[in-house]
Amino acid sequence: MAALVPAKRLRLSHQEGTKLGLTADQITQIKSYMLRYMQDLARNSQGIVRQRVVAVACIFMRRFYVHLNFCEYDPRMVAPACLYLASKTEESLIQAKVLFHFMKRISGQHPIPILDMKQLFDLEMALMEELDFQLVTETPYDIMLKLLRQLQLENLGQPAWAALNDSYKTDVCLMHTPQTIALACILLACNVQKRELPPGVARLAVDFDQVYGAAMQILQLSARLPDIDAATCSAWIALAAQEDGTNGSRALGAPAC
Amino acid sequence: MMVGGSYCGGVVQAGTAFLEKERRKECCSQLGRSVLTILRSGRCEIRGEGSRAQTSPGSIQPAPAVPAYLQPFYEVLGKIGEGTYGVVFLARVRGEKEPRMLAIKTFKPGKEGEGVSPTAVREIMLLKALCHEHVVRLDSVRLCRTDPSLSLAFDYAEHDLYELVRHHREKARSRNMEPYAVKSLLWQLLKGLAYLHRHAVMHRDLKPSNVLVMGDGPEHGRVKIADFGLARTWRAPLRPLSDNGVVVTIWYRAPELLLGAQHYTAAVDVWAAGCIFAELLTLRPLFPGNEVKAPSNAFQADQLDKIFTVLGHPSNSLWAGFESLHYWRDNTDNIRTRRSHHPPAPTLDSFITQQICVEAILWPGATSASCLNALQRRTSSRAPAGYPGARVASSAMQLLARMLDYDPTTRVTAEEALNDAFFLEEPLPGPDAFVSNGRAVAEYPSRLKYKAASTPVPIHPPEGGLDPSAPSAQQLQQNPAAAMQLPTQSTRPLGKEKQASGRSALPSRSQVAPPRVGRSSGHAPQHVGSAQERPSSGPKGTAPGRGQQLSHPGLLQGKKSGGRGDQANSRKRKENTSFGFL
Repeated sequence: MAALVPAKRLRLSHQEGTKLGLTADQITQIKSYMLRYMQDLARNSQGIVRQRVVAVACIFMRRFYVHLNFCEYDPRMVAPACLYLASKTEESLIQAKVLFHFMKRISGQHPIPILDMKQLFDLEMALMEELDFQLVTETPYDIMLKLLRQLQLENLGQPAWAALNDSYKTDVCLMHTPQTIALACILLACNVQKRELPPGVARLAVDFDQVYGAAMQILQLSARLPDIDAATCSAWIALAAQEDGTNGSRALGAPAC
Repeated sequence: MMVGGSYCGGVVQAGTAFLEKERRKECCSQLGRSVLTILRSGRCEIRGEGSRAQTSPGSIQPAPAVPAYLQPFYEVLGKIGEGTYGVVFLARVRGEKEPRMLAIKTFKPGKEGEGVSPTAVREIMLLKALCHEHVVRLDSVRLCRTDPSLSLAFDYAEHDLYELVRHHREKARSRNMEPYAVKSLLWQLLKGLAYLHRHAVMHRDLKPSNVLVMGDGPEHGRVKIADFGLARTWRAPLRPLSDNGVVVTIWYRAPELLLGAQHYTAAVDVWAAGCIFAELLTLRPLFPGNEVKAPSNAFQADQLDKIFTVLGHPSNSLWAGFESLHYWRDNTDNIRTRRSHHPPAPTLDSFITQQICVEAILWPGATSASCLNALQRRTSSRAPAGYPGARVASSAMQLLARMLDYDPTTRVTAEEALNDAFFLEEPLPGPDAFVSNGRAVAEYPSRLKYKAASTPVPIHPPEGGLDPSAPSAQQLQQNPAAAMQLPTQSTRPLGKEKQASGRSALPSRSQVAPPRVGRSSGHAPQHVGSAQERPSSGPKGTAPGRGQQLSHPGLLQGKKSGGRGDQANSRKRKENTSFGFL
């Protein structure tokens, strides 16, 4: 598994993007939008694109942008490449043409430019390279279910699952271990249902400061920033690409909109 | 394109070169990669042209055998192997004081519309995360986005079990391997396997050629498991494992796979390791079944027949619940009928003993079927005890029987096998399979014939010390048939084809470029691989040339050597990596 990324390093990400006029919030919102795009794609795939593939793709995307900027690689094109690579690493292969079919299917809901097949394959390689080929990714889903059973909180499955899906809007998946994230989501679910964490958690070998930190991060984000739509997302990316005349979107040519 | 040459003819030559290149391109695109022969002849032409054009910079590198993007990092010394996925080169790392050898596996672009081949993705992601003394070390991954192509650089390993067994069978006149060596090789293999299984990784393609052994260097005589192109983790699979298509090369395929199990476990690796163990003991494959080529068909009647002949027709007492397996239930190919040559109970013990005492020389050109018949005829007449090397410790036979348990749920696990009594007895297994207590128990020829590229090297360097009675290389060359026509020959060459069809369900295997030798290699690398050295007059008209070469893709696998700086590197890797899943 890839090493965790410390918060300090994450604060240095997207410097070029911010220089070009994107605010930190806008960058966060663009990433959330791309997550929503992938989730909607999965939802419209009759179960072919699995939730875990989306989760892994999201982690890939966030790790990809730790060192790179939106003006270098258009996130609207990187997201499908992440899904495609994640489908391979999770042994749940989606054929490229099937992926394109799904992308077209949700293009009404998400009118963003669709890359071509050559770009998809090129970005897949760029992605592997940027991730330093560390593709084994553990997601908190299984761990969370196990913890819920262990703590006899099975009835919290629904809200905990929702919190976990929300957690991918933030960078917690890069900063904390899957176990910490799983527990943070359980904590949030308890919070929603106004329940106390059972005493059993004390026996778990986790750092509770980290758990609370992760939980706060998930909570704050969903409370603070509204979702954006495709047009806003595209406009912001175009803004960044435009101002960066020299090497804007060098991988893919200028964004279509 | 038209780069001027260094002398007056340069422009003309470059022009010719350009036209030639265009012609070749056209030729390639028209004919497609599959028409190998035509392509080859096309390339021969170009080579002639190329020798002239060499003087002009920018002249053709006809379909560069060595991808240009590797040149800055490695000095490529030659080709070690080739498979459906691409080519394996031997290379030295540039810019390091200590010479370090790597095996570089280059992947051809995947099938049309596929991107990076899933095989490559599997291999990269697992080897990046795995780190163990008995798992081949992935040194680096190089990719070229414009080409697009991908290469994996592994530590180079001098030997593999296929080569070792072949050496004993052919060069050492069927002289068996030292018990110490066999035990150490198996012990190390099981240690590597136990590590993989502990971390929920199934290899799914274990066979002798995928089990490498290090040559000279700090890791001398150390086993390295290689080729993770079919490996995967089984933790919380999103789809049934059977979706991955056929796994494991036929001879090493566990019975539950042959009978069509939808869900299988790491026990398939243990079965394969058991087959390898037997092969180390007897110097021939344990169950050399003939493959019926059919896409994505794990069921192989002849393979099952071979197994039943030794282990008996399966029954509920041997294997609880096997009757619900797909092909058994359907009674495919009448598999449920017990044939007369299927013993009612396992006869592994006597079978192995017979195999060991049979000298390959006795059946020149025999097919494996006639060999089996002969074995059966001989069973009562000859006492195995009279042969040297026929004494196999009973603990070895017991362990083998546990590894070849029909029932995957009761089959010994790699971890349990390590605690078997066999490994507590003398000779104790050691970290160097070739050296026991400072005494060399075995010596094997180098795979690297290129080493003395400046001086002519005999194809089979005579081996001193191991077996004085072994025929010299010269003798072998004059009459290779005597030493090489083993019963198993008839089936060996099938392997490659097998491989291809066996994996055809996987999208990753793609067409391959015809063999090309990098200019730097100088010495014909064809001598290096094992395949071409085998007699092409194999019995029963199997297609030897091409088939053989492909039959042991492990050869083409990562090979390690040296290992200098290994520890430092692995430490570094540890630091960079949090082994959450491991």
